[in-house]
Amino acid sequence: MKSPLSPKHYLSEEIFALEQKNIFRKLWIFAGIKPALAAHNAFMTREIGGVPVLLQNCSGKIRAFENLCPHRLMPVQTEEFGQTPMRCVYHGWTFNPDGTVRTIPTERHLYNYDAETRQSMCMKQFAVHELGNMIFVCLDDNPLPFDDQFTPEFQEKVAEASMFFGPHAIHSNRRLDFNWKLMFENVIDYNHIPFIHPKSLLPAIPTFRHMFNNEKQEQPALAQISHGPEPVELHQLSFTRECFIDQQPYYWTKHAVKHYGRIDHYYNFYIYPNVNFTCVMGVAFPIQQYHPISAQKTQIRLTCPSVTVDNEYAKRHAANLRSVLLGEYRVMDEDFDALLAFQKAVHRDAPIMEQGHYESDLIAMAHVYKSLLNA
Amino acid sequence: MSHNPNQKICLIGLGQVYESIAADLHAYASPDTHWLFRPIGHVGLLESCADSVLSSIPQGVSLFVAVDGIALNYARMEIFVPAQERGLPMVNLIHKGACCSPDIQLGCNVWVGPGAVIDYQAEIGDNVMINPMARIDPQARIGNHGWIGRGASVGSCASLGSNCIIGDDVHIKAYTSIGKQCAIAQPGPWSQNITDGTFAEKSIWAPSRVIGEGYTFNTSCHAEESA
Repeated sequence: MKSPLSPKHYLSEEIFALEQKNIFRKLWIFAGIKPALAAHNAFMTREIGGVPVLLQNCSGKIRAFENLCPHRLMPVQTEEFGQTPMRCVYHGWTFNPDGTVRTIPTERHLYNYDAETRQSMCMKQFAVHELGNMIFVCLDDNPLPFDDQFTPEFQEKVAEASMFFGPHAIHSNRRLDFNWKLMFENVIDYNHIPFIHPKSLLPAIPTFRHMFNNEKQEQPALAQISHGPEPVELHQLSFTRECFIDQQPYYWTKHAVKHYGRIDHYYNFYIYPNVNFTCVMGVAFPIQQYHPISAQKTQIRLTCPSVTVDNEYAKRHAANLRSVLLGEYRVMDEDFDALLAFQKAVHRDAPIMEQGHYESDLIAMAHVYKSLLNA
Repeated sequence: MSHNPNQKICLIGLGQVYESIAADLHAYASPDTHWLFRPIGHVGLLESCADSVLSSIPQGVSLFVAVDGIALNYARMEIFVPAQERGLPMVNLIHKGACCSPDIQLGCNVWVGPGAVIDYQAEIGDNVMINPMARIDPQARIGNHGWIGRGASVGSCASLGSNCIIGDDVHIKAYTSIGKQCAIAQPGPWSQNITDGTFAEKSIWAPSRVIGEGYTFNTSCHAEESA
């Protein structure tokens, strides 16, 4: 069947602008993890929907602001992660936990604001929702009810898994020249695994290995989202999958680790629109986020939280995360090669994709995506 | 090289450093040194066996803890720290084929492999493994629990925080500052100053860094509200 999306959805800057406005500035977007902000004045900065966003721990409460000082629109926090009060580096303005201006150095001598202006000046505050150790932000003035985007069952599962995060994570960003949707579609399209990951992922996942060898084994569910003729809704686009993984645990502190779920399972939590949160063997929790930069550029934000451990030394040894990271990179690099090739080849007049039955999830997702774009 | 006659040294651990020392004992101490061995079967056993292993060491015996491998550098602390807390004497093992300037400062439980060179006024912390053919240049500083890979070098006046791993054939240039808990495993020159918890190697995207308590914030830090 024909894909609801045409090549322009992967190429057009006009469509990208619509996505930013009607998806990334409307929906709840995963913004970061709580262990990165677990102290007063700990902060992180990033961009969502083209807007600079500051997440700051204000006396234990995590708040989100537009990261712009109302004076000269300088970013209030300039580092990606850190711990300092909200104070603009340019002219020293400081801010209250609600984003209003607290103090302005030499205010009386140099600024002379009238009372109304002075009172109205603030950093714009955004809605924040904490789901376990995952933080979501909604930039819309009238935030969508969280339950409209994620079912309570899904929320419960994500919250439970994320509560196994330890105090550290390793974080990295990488820009790549392909459309952000390709990566989210790629992680849902399990049928690429035998061809793109024959040596990395395939040997570890018996379900796909047997499928590739035409052996009659348990098949992955064809459709997680769409089960019938009813129109698919937004909250159905975020869902979980799990499968058996045939790999020896590689974590040297495994004896001291508290595991999530089954140690011989691989869990996926697909968080629409752009996050693939996984749990590998109960101890590794890579979070991949496909952050759109432009129609043909994506920032891959990879955060690998540590796991909760009892071992006193292991708690301090964030370098254990290195092995998790290396495994993720290996698989993702293989995906990137394929997606970069797609983006290089696709053009405006290219034919519409012909999708098969197993891709009904992607088709359902594309329908919802188009309705969001046109909302 | 230790020259104390009738010295008793107990070698504890597992991995290549352990095996390399055990296979070449005369290169580390005088022939009349009495050696005891406490091999550990698996790295996963370190935590549970630390107490019993340390209790089994007779008085008057000095220890050397050798648990190695880049990914396991931290595991060495599971024996080293309890031994240090008990006040047990620990030795440095310097291969006779290594070359160390007489004015260097060495902590305890430092291994200097064959062919390694430590130049004048270099400062090496506790529990540091300096692999064969590595070079530590004048006035370089290496923090505790470090790992300097085979053929690697740390340039003059460069400084490494604690728990740093410098991979084989990595060359830290002079005056470079590397934070604590960093891993640089990309062979070749490295001249960039990096903050705590940064990882750099060919297969890891740059920049990759550890975030969270002790890296990007401190829970004990009462950052002053600039009122």
